[in-house]
Amino acid sequence: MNPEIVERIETDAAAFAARHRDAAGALLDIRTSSAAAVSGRLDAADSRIADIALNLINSGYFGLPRNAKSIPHAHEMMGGERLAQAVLAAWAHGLLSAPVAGYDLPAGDLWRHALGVSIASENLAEAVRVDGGRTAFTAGIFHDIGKRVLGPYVADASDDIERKTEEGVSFEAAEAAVLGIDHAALSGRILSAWHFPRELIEAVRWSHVPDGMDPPSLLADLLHVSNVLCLTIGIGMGKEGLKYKASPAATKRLNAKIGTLELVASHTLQWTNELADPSGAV
Amino acid sequence: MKHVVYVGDMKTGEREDMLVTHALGSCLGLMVYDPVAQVGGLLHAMLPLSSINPQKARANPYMFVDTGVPTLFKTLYHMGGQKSRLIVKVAGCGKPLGNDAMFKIGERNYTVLKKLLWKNNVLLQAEQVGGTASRTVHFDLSTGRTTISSGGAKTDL
Repeated sequence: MNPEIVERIETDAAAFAARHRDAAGALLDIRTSSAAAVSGRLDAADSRIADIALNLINSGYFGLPRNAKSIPHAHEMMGGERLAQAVLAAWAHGLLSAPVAGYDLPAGDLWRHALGVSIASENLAEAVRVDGGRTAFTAGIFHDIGKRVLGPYVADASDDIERKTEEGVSFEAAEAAVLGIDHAALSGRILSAWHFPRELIEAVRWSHVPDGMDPPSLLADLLHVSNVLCLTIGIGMGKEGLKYKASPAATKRLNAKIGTLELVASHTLQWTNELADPSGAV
Repeated sequence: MKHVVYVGDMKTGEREDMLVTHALGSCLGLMVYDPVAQVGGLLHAMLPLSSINPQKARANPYMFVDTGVPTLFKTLYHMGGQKSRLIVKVAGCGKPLGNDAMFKIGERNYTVLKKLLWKNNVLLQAEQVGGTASRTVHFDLSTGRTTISSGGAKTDL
């Protein structure tokens, strides 16, 4: 591990977070904003987000009885918290759609993986009857945002990381050993700079090793299980393949059975395919 | 012509067609080829048994091994393929690190495939299954050649 590289990664992460901090602040506040104020917040972030959010909202996943005609209309129909899920996802679509070096993810695949994990997390929460499905959805959307920053460093150090994983070390542990930080920790730092809720940040940071949390967090467990599930079924699987450790304790804490996971997987694939390109015309 | 087979999908073709599927993790990649009729098909099935979601299986049989595999064989028979000539290969069926039984989806996919083939007296000619790798399959229907790309390396199956 080279301290200069660690410093450069931290600088890059801080710059990335700063570049998008205003948008994050405007969009996070939608949860508690009035319908009248919501459009202004979207315009303050990026006016294109409204069209993408409306496509997500009217997709069927959000279960509205009829199409929302505008963001304020959607706010009236679904409330600020549910609207914020869609709006944050629409914003993330722009952040996550580019190809990601290092993980060999072509254009769209990081977004597809984020979407898959968010859908799986929310569906799994409902299936095992634990609270926090909506927070888990948003955590899923942003859980790999750190890959946007770490990707070029992973590409440069790919041989060293590969050698580590050949010793049986999981991929994120190999990242930490070689680069000094892993993508989940970096995601946590970015989300912290954007003032996401503490519970969500911690769940993202521990999403690969949820057993390390004391006390355990069902949100981290939802994220962990959903992430492994999406990778196993190939949703946004990168160069590292399945080199992540699944925690039996996390599935046990969630009381998830094999049939539950497979049912969630089948729903997840369908919804991910339907929502994968939300940038089309409204 | 190149056809990409996505997760929970199947494509068939003939002669000059190339069937490709990416990101095979725990999913089953099944390649079936008749060298005389020069027809073949590639199935990318995600889960072992359709009984967990019969409604989805009716809408999309390719999502499941137990519904996708028979559909692939029947489609090839309709295209002129003959059972006695079919060359059957399989790739994928991997699993994450650790030994969590909950995530042995790949092993269950493989087991269901083997049972189906055994019951129907079909032999598996080649396989590259298990492990943690992400695999991409290129299936050339002019020759039946099947190439697996994984971790920067290419091998013939």
